Amino acid sequence: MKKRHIRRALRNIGLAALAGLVIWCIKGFPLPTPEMDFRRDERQALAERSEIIWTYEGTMRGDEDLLVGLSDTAVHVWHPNGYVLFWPRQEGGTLVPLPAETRYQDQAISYLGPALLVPDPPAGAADARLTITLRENEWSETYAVKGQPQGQVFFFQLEMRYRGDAENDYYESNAFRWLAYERPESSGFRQYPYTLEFFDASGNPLSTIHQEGWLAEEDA
Amino acid sequence: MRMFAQVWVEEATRKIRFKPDRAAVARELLGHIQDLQEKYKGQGLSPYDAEMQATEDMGDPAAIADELGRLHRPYWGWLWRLSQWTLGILLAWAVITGIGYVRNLLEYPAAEAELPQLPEAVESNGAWTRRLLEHWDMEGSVDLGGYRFTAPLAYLQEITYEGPEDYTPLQYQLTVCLRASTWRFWEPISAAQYMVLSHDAADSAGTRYGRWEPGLFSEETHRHYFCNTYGDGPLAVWYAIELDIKDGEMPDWVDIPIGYGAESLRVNFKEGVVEP
Repeated sequence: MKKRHIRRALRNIGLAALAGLVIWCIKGFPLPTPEMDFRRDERQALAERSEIIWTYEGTMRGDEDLLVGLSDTAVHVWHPNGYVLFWPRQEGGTLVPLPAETRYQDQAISYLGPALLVPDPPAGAADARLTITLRENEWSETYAVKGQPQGQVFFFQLEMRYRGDAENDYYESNAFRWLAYERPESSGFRQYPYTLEFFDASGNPLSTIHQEGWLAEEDA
Repeated sequence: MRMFAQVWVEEATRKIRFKPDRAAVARELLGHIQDLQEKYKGQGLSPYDAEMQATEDMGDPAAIADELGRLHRPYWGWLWRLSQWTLGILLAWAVITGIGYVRNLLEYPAAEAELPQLPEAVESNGAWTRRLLEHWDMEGSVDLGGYRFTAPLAYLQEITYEGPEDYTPLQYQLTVCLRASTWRFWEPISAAQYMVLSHDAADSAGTRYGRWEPGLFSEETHRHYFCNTYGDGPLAVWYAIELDIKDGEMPDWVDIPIGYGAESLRVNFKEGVVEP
């Protein structure tokens, strides 16, 4: 009776594994953790394995998890939809927009807003400031944001200014959304004028990165 | 000990904790008792006396219960039961998921996969005419990151334009079709065009080919370069890479970087092979 139970249990386990495999295939081969997904996406893109240096876990329903890795040549940003964006690294620090909004607190209420990251700041940088201009049609707005050091990265959270102002809210929301949509392959992010300043622990300026973006086209 | 058969069997099997095992053993023991009963009835005993005698012959049910409880541990039975439930749940889930999948397929049928093919000798589309000059079927394969790359098709076309727009009237376009395949069905290679276009290619004459785009490459330093991709089932992807060949002078080989790392392969037209 023991042998019969073992035989039937093994048969059932085999069939259950097969059924599980079918489900896993139909569901698109999900993996248990974002990190495993991230590593798979790197392999599928024939990218070098990066060092994961920053992670973000969404805190409320609908929030996305994010992962950022750093390799010798690129910043690997994991998109929750299941692929990795490879932003070429730049001298002095690489500013990358995150592909999903992150949550910030404004008094008693939390909101979602776009964020940017510098995962490779210059050595000795203890403080950073970003001034970036967003545009939506004729509307534009400049945001000055102090960087939050999080491990070895500087994190810049953009916060909405025009809540309650229907017209400006509309343009600002769109501009925020487009920022999260930017991809390394498109020239979109190169159009954003920004100034990125780094300071040492004493507050002395270390270095500055400036991108003219569409302001240069206007001047031309 | 003399007792009714059913009582005897219940007593003898009470320490078998797995119910299906208990029932099976009970049936077997009852069968033995009934055989003994028939034997005693044949010897002239009444049905009552035959039953009593048969249970007495079977022995002490308490002692037998101990032995049967030791022999029939419940764990293997519980394992079997657990495997039944697991299989049942997964089968139901698979059926529900499968129905949704098939319904989606029927509602939105996938378009017939269009794969790269050798073009006709002459193709004309209004002002544009393409003439096939030469074609190759490369031998060999290259393994990059666990994906097997072959170059089953490459061809050179002369493209002429006779129309009102201000286009270059004569071009030579080399199309190299790479096929990347894997058995790892859960992680097929990326079909993104920028697997090829994020880096520039180079040929044996020192010419560089790159995508003309701000932040990538410019026409001052690179000749035109493009890539279309095609899915070939769940296990393979085709990359059809277009290179603008100056004056139609074919290079001996072209080095094509693939992916976002430092991998590349060489398509050697002179040798007719694809190599690392």
